[in-house]
Amino acid sequence: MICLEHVSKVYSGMHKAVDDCTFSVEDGKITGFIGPNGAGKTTTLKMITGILEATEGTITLDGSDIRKKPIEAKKKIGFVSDNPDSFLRLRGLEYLNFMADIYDVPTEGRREKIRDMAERFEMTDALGDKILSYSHGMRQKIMVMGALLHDPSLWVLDEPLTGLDPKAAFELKEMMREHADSGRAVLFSTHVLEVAEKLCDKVIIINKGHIVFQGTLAQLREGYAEGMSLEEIFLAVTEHA
Amino acid sequence: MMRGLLRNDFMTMRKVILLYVAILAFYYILMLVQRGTGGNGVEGMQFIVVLFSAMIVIYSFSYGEKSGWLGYVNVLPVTRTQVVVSKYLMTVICMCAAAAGGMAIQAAVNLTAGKDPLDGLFYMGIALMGAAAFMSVVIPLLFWLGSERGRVAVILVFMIPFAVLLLMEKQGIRISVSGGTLERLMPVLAAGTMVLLAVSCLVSLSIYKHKEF
Repeated sequence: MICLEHVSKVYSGMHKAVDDCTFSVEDGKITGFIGPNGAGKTTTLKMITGILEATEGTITLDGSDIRKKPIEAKKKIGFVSDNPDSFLRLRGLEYLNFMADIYDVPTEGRREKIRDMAERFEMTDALGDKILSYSHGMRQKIMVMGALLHDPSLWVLDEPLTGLDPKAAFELKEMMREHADSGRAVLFSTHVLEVAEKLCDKVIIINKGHIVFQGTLAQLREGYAEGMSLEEIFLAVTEHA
Repeated sequence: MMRGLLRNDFMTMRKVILLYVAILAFYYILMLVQRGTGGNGVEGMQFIVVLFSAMIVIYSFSYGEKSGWLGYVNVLPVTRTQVVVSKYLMTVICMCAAAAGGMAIQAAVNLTAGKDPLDGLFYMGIALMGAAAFMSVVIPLLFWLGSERGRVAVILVFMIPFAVLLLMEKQGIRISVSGGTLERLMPVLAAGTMVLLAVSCLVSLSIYKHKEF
């Protein structure tokens, strides 16, 4: 479970990118994190994953405060960034072994895990190649594989479906569903509202640094005319917030 | 964790390292030829060889910024201290490898000339410490300014001592230290270099801890 309590982020003492956000990402659910550009989604995800430190508030990951016990907290996360270009000069297998080493994945059974994931994502033949030679979709896939190798209880993804072909996108959504159904938490940000509509058990809408809604889609639809699409509701929520 | 970070750095830089090895080989051959002909200025070349290899860390910073690695690494279960220390370790490993190569060349030349193989090896040690002192200033600048602006600062750090020495020479002020004195001062210089590196590491850590990505 991910818990944010009264979390704020101020840049350079002046610009408040995230203001007093309180929400949770429960185990067993896929939570969609949606908002317009510049709303504070990426800043919030960066605070959850430890890239940024919150100015105020607490963030706990399965009970571990990321400020007080950062290493313990980070071991529980598998993060898929929206930028899959951090390891371009490594080969796919080198990257996966690097991630496995960093997260203390035992060498026993590691090879089988990598093989199974590679088969699922149809990446077996590409593991010996440099990530630089991969297409964007392949880079996303290898990042997903690296993020899941250590079997994290919390899975955080930033725009994970961008650039994926339909089959890979389907596989990823299936994996997210499986991860949540096994009693673990998934938080992902997206601009594609149709995906959020089909996949999410809960949505959190952020606008101008504030959480303007959190709850199920059914709860979101209450108060709006029947037949309104999620897109229309989202625009209404963010326009009036 | 540290091994993982270092392995990632070296694997990422392997093409650059291969290029550096080729260039160092050229310098080593030059050193061999110079020594063989009894030429001077080889000590200066030793400093260049060691300093040159230390510059690999600048490429590491440059790549880290372009790829987003310096920000992304904070997602991983490693501390910012480990990230900073890994950069210093990378620098020290590169410098020591270059120094070891130079020492091997020198020992080989000494043997072929019928001299004590250890003769003059301490100059490489002096070069190592000089380069370490230089990098003690450079690495915090890279953490602070990034690799692009940092390059300008690195050039200034390199040029200023030379400019000062040139000015002093023009004024007739000469600082000459004999080889024997340098050899006797080695333990003090070594200790001083370690202190400098430690202070530099603390400064870098202080800068990196407050960096936002």
